[in-house]
Amino acid sequence: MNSKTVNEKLHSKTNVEKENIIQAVVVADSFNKTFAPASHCLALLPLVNKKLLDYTLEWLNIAGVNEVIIFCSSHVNEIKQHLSDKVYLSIDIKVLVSEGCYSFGDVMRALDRYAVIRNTFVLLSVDVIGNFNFVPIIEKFKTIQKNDKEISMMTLFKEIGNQRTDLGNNFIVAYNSENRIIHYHVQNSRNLELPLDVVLEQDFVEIRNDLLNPGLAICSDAVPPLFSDNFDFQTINDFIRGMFMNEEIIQSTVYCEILKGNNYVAKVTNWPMYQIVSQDIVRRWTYPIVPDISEKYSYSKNSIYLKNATFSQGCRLGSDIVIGSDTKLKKNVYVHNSIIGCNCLIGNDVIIENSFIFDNVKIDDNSVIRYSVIGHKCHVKKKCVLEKNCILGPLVTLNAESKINNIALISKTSSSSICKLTSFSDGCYVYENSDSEDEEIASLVCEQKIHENNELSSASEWGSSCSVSSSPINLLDDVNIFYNEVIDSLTRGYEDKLKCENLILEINSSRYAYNVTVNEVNYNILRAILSIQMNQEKPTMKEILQHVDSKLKYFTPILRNYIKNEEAQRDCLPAIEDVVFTSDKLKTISPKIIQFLYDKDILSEEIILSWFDDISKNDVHNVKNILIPFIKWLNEAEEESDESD
Amino acid sequence: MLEFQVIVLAAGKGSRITELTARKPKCLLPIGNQPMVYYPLKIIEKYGFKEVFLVVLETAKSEVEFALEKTDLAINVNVVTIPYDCDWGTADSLRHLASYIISDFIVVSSDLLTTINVKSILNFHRKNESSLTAVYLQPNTDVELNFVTPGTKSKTKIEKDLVGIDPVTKRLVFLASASDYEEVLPIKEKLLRKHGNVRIYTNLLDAHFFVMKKWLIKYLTFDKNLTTVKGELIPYVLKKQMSRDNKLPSLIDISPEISPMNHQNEKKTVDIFLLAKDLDYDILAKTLSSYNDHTGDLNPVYLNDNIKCYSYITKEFGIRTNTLHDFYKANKTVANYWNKIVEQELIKISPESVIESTQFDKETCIVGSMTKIAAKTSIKSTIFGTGCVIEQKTRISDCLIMNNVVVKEGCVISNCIICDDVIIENNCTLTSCLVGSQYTVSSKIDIFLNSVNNFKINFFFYCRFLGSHKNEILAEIESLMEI
Repeated sequence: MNSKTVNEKLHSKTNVEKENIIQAVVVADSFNKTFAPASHCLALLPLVNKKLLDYTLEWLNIAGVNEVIIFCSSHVNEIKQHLSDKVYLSIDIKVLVSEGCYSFGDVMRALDRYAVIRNTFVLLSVDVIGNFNFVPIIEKFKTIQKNDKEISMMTLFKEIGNQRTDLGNNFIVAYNSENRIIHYHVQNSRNLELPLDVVLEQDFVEIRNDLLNPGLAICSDAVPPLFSDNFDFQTINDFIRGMFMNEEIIQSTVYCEILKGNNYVAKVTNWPMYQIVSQDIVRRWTYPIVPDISEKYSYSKNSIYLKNATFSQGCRLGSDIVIGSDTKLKKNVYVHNSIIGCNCLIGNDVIIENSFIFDNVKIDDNSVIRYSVIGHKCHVKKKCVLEKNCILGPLVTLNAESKINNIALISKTSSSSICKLTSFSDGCYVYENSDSEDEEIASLVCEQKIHENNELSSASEWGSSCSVSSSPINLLDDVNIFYNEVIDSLTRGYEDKLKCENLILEINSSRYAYNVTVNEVNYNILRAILSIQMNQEKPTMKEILQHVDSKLKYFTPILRNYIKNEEAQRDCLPAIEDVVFTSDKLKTISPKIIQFLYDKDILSEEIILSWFDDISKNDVHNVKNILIPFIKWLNEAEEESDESD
Repeated sequence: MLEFQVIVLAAGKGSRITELTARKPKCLLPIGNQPMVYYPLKIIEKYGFKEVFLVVLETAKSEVEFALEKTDLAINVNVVTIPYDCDWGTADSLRHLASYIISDFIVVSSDLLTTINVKSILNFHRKNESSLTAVYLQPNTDVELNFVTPGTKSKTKIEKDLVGIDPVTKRLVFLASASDYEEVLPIKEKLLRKHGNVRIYTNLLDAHFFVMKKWLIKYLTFDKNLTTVKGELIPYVLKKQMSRDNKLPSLIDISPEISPMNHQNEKKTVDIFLLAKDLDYDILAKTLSSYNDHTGDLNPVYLNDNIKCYSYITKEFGIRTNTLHDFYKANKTVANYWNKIVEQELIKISPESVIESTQFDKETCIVGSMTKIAAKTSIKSTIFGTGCVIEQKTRISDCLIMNNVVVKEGCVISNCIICDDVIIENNCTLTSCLVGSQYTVSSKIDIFLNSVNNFKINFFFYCRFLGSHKNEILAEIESLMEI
C-alpha cells in the first residue's frame, strides 16, 4: 500500500463514525543522534532484525487503534518507501511531513497546525516498544474526563522496581488517590520537595521512584494547542511540569497510569536500553510481538530464533540468539547472546558475544566481536578483534587484524557533512558526536545519561572518549576568553557589591558570545570564584580564610544558579583541584572550602566522596592527608543527619 | 510465657478539655454512662487478655479504682501510679513500668473508643516480625455527623499527621506533623532510594494503639531523653530504621560476648541495634528461607533491616476523645457501636431510674440509675448520668448530662454538655452551652459570667437578663484557673 492508496482508503472511510476512532500519533524522530553512527534514521533502526517503526505499527495494529499518524521530519522518502510494502489489517496509516521540526514540542505545534486530531489520541514516539491494548486505558481516561474536564494528558508509566539505573528512569512522580500528578521531579540528586498545601488537599500522596517513563501518553485534543500556546515546551516532561507549575494560568491536569504485570513497555533511548529491549524481545516479554510470531522464525530452547540460516560443522550456539534468513555460518563459529541480521556471512572460527550485527554483514575468519554493534553491509576482515563498545556505521570495511575498542567508526560514503573526520584507516573514519550541546536541548522525552563503565551495556560514552583525538584549539581559546571575562565580572561584582543576579546575566551573555558548553561554564565559574585575588600582599592564614569565606558566601547565589545537578557538581570539582590544590596556602584550607560548598548544598555528599576516592588513588597534590579528617567527618555527618531529621 | 502484655495509659490530664476535667480525671469522663477508660479495657478483655497495667496519676488512683469496681470488667487491672506534678510524657510512663514488662507489649491510650480487631493487628505484627506496629484509623466517609460542639465557638485547627508508608510491605517509613513544615514537604532522597514507592497519608487518625517489641522498653530505660511515644520514641525508631547500621548481622558476626551496653563510657550509652538484634536462630531462618516481602530489587527479605516499623491501617470505627468535639461525638455515636465493642446489649434505660415523662424518646436516650424525670417533660437524644433530677415543664434535646444534675422547672436545654452536680434553676434557656461541674445556672438578673476561650482564659463580663445562654461556657472561675 503506498501513500496514495492510504489516502484513498482514508477518504472512503470518512463516513465511519469519527467520534469513536482511536488515533495514534507516532513521532518518527528522536531529535538526537544517539544511534547516529549505526543508523541515521531512528524509525528504521533495526532491533532484533526488524525496524523500530514496524514494532510500533505492529503493536498499534493489535492495540485497538484505528488510525495512525506518522509524523516525520527527516528521511521522509525512506520511511514512505518502507511503508509501501506493509499491510496492516486494522489501522489506517497517514504520513505527515514537517521539515524544520527540531524538538518534540515542534512536532506537537505542527500537529496543531495540521488539525488532524479529532478526539483523544495516543501519543508515542517510534522508539517505544509495547504489547498492550490501549482500549481499557482510553476508557479510563474517558471516565476521568467525565469528572475532571480539565484533564489533558494521561501519561503511562511502567513499574520497574527499585533498582536505580541511569537509563532514563531517573525521575520521581507524586500523584494523589485519583492518579492525578501533583509533582514531577526529574533530577534525582536533591531531596524531593513537595508543595505542602497541595499535599494537604489530598487524602494521600503516592511518591514513586520505581517507575520507567516510556514517553507514552493518552492525550486529549487540547494538548497540541497547549503546545502552541507555550512555545517553550520542548518535551513531554516540560509539558507535565508546566501543567502543575502554572496551575493558575493553564487550567489543565495531568494524570498517570501505572502499567503492571504483563503489560510491556520500554523506550529505546540509548544503547544500553537498546540492549535491554533486545533481550526482552528475545526472552518474549513483548509477547505477542516476538520473532517467531511476526517474522516466522523458528523458536527453540535457550531462546534461539533461526530462519533459513545455514550452519557448518562445529558451530556452537549459546543462548538468546536470533539469526536472520540466508545467513551463513562457517565452521566452528561460536555465537552467544547476539542478534545477527539477514544475508550475513560469518567466517570460520569467529566468536560473537553480546553483539548486534545488522543485515548483509561479512565477517571474515578468526575475528572476535564482543559488546559491539556492526552496521549494514560492513565488512570485518580477517583476525579483527572488536571489544567493548565498538560501533561500526554502515558500509565500514575494517582492515585485517585491526584491534579496536570503545570507538565508533563510519565510512566516507555514509557521512555527508556531519562533522570533521578523523581518518582511522582506508575509507573509515572516527565518528565524533560533535554536537552534544544541541543534543542536550533536543533530547526527546527522557533526559538521558548513558551509564559510564556499565559492564553490561554495549556502549558507553564513546562520543566523549573519542573526542580526545581531535584537538579543538580554537575552542580552548574561546573558553579562556570566557574565563577571563567571568573573572572580570566577578571581581568587579565583588568589589562593587553588585547583585549576583546581574552577574549571572553577564556570565550568561559571555557564555553565549563564546559558545561555551555547560560543563565548561560550571568548571570555570568555580575556578574563577576561587581565583579572585586578594588586594593585600602576604596575607596571613586567617586573612586568607576570611577572604575565601566571604567571597564564597557572596557568590553562593551564582553557584546555586549553575551547579544544579550531579553532573554539574562533577564538572566543578576539577576546579578545586586546579586552583586550590595547586596553591600551598589554599591547600591547607581546602577542607573548609569543600565543607562550605557541602553546607550550602552545592556539593552533595556522594559526589564529594566519590571524587575523593578518585583523587586519593593517585594523589598528585598530596591532599589526601589534608582531606581525610574532613571525609571522616562527612561520613559521620551523614550518619548524624540521618538521625537528626 | 505471656506473648503480649498490655499497658493502658490513663494518666492524661486532659489539657485540651480543661472545662470538663476540672474536677474529674480525664479517663473517667463518661461516654455513654461508662468511664472513658472502660472501653479500651473492655476491648482488651474481649480479646482474651487476663491482665492489664493501667497507668494513672497518683491523685486519681482511688477514684479510678472506685469507678472500675462499678463496671462489669472481669479483667485483672493493675493500677500503677505516676506522680502528678512531674509532667511525665507517655514514654516516661512506659519507662516507669519497665520492670513489669517481660514480653512484647501493647500500649493503648485510655481515650480510644474503637471497634478495631486486636487479633488481626497482633497477627499482622507477628507476621512481619515488627519491632513496632502503629495502628491508624482511616476516616469513614459514609457516616457524617453534623452537630455544633457546645461551648464558645472556636475554630479548631485540625492537626494533620503526615504518615508515610510503603504500600507494598506496609512499612511505616515517615511520620511528621503538617505543622512541622511551612511551604514545602521535603522527602529525603535516601528514603526514596530505599523505598521506591512511598504513600503519604494526610487523613489518618493515630489510634495511639501500639504493639512493641520488648527491647523497646529496655531501650527506654537507657535513653531518658525520650519523653513521649508518638512525638519522640516513634520518630526516633523510624530514624534508626533508615540508618545504614540497621542491618541484620551476618551469622559470622554474631558473638555472644557483645553486650549492648558500653561500659567504658561513663555515660553508659546503649546500641539500639544490638538491643533489637534477633535471636540467632531467627537470623538463620531468614538467611535460609526463600521468602521475600517485596519485589523490584535484589535486596533480601525486609531489606535486611533489623529494626522494622509497620503501620496497620484500618477502616474500622474509632475516635480519640481528646478534644471537646470528639468527646461529644463519642457520646453521640457510642450507642451505635456498643454491640461491637462490648458484645452485649446496651441497657439504655437503667431499671433503677424513674421516668414519668410521656414525651420521652426511648430509642435515642440513655438514662443512668437513680435518675428521676418528672412528667410533662419532653426529652430526646440525651444521655443522663446517675442521680439526676429533671423537673416538670422542661424540654431537653441532644444533651449530655452527667451525674447528679438538677434541672428545675421550665428550662429549655438543647445541645449542651452539663457536668456533675450542676443546678439549673427555673426558666433557664441553654443552647449549645457547656456547664462546668458544681455550677449553678441562675435565672436571676445581673449575673457575671465568664467566658472561656478554649485554652486561654479571658475575663469577659456579661450582663444577662433571664438565664438565657447560647454558645457559652458556664463554670466557676476558680476551677478553671487551677489548670
